[in-house]
Amino acid sequence: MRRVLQAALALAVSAGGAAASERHFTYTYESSVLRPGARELEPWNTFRLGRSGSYGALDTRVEAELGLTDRLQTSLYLNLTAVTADTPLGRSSSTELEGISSEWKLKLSDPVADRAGVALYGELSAGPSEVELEGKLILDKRVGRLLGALNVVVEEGWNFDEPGTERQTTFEVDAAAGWFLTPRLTAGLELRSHTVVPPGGEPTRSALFLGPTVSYAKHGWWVAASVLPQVRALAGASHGHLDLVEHERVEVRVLFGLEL
Amino acid sequence: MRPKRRLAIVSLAAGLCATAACAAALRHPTPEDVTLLAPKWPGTTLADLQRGRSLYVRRCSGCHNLVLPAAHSPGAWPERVDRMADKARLRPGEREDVVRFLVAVASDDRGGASR
Repeated sequence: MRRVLQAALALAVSAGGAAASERHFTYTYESSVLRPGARELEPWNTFRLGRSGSYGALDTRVEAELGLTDRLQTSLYLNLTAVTADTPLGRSSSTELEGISSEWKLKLSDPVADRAGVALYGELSAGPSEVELEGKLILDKRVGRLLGALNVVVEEGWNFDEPGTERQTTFEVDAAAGWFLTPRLTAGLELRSHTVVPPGGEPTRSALFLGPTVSYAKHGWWVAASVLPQVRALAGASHGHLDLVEHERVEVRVLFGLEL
Repeated sequence: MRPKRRLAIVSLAAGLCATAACAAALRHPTPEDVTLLAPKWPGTTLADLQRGRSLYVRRCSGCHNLVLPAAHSPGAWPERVDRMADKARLRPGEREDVVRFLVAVASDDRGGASR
């Protein structure tokens, strides 16, 4: 473990300038892509806490990114999830390999040079029990010290755990605004609306999250973190004004990027 | 979705789009820029400056967020571009086009002209 930390530190110190793929928000993507040949390693951690009963989950994604052209980048993810929750038989914990994902991002315009930055994003995930296909429209704009971004996301998932295949659709709108306190440090707010349309006529569940986000970038590495509490259920409220069946009370996400 | 929520989301999206539409973008070079550069770099053409803009947007944004030319003095740009030219894979001729575009627009914009 010590050797891994030393290697990571050496990479961080020896790497060149921060890549344009540095992220300033944790859910909301920006339109930038890596330059051709540039590589980046991005470990993600998302803590999802609080459902009905005791519940805690940790989603870990390890992403390797590669710039292909001035406009196109690709990446590969490894996805893991660990959950601890109350069940009728008592508290249970499990860790599961969710699968791998392939991401493609095409930049169409630049947030500074053009009226708005625009990018298209596609991701295919496959695991032992499910396949997911995700499409995303990314808009962003940088004006002076102000940075804004908006994503519209549609995801289709097929689950093979149950007898017969279950299909689930997810809609997501992410919006964020950040202020560059210094050229390296930003602080802002992030809004996330997440809607799940389950199969078999079950009720749609939708929740709105809002919280602070910060990011810091230095030569060769960057970090972004957010704390997004659920502010209300937009559909399918289960506990007062919150949905704690499909969504959690709070999501905490930390992204780390290391230029290779 | 309730009408009020839908209206709020549509309003937010419209506001962001309006902000983006009104916001400054990196302007394209003009014949006046060619004239401006003539004393220092005679023979520079509008096509050179257009190529410089295109290279600046495509190559430089791969490593950092772009800055508008007026963010630095015209005299500072050649050294800044030189420092990063290798990483941006700019060949000597391309580097010249990028520098001339940035110097022209920085000179004009810092002089207060608006286009």
